[in-house]
Amino acid sequence: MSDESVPLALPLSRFATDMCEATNLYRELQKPLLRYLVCLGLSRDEAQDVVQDAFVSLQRHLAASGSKESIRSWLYRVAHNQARNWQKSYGRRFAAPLDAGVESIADKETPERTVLKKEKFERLGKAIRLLTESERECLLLRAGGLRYREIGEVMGISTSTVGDTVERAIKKLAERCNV
Amino acid sequence: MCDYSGRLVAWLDREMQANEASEMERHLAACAQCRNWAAELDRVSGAFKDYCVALAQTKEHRKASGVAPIFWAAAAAIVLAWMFAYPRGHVASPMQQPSVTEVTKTDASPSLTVKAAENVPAPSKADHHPARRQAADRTGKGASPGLCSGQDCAPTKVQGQSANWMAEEQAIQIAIPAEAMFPPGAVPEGVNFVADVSIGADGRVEQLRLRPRPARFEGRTDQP
Repeated sequence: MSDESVPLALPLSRFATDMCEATNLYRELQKPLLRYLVCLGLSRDEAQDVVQDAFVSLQRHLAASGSKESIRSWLYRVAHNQARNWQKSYGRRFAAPLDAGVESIADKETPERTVLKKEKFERLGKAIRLLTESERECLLLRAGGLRYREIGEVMGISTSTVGDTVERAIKKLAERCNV
Repeated sequence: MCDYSGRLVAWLDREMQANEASEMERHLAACAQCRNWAAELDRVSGAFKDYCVALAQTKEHRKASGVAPIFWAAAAAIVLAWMFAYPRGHVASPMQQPSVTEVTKTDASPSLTVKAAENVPAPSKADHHPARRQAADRTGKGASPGLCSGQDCAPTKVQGQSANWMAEEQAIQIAIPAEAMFPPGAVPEGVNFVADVSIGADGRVEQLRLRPRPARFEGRTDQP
């Protein structure tokens, strides 16, 4: 029997390492990823489905000896693409991400602070609606803690373009709403 | 605005090289306008993050608050449906209770019979005599389930079931004049017979019993 015909089994230690890594990534990125998808325009249930699918893809990726480099951006890219496919399949579009009104404000705050915060969010929401789609997505990924390089990998643009886009978007927000 | 203002966000995000960052910090120490603008951009960045968190919480809150009314509406609909289906006048009356008890007894009787059979002493050889077994089957007495097995038990069970069936169903009465069955003068005047007939599943008459009953004197009145 030749050695080439024998499939090499995945070593148990490596499998355990991959599982541990995936679990850590899940703990670290599940909430930011969920928040990103919700702010992208998905409902809570849709976002949870997409996050679950993304982590299933991560398991397969790790099991298939996929690259572990830039795994965070890989995961965000998978989630981003799945969200796109999800919305396309249901005949919807990324209609006005971040467009929904913000109602939930911490109950522990005083009424005055609550009112001020609500007004601030309303001004910010109006300003966000005037941003372009790429600017919104860059800001969302940046708010999720991704570096410019990772944002570029997710969106398929260069790091310098991400820097310019983020700079422009933040300046627009600062000019349009005095927060 | 000076030239450094276009890279303040990258500096805030720590996306600059070390030498570029140190150069920016030196500029900010000297330029109040850029320092204020950097503070403004930092506030906007923080506000945007807060907005994202609040938006996610809002959607979660909407989902949670959207489920509760549906749940309570469904619960109310079930209660209303129950109230319409079972109005207060339709509460189970004591008269219905015996019928439930009867059913329970009927259902429980086979198991009780089987249990009783366990305590039946071992049958003697005489019990296996065909003539005695047929007599026992006909009368329904002395035939214990422990004595028969398989198809031999079937007639006894059918008889018991048909008796229950006869008791539940309304009896069919056929009037036959006494003169048609008995010779004249054999039956006293004013006496009729009621025949109880048990018919088996195959249509065969299993039991016939005549019960004498005083006839009604139709047209007879107390007053002359």
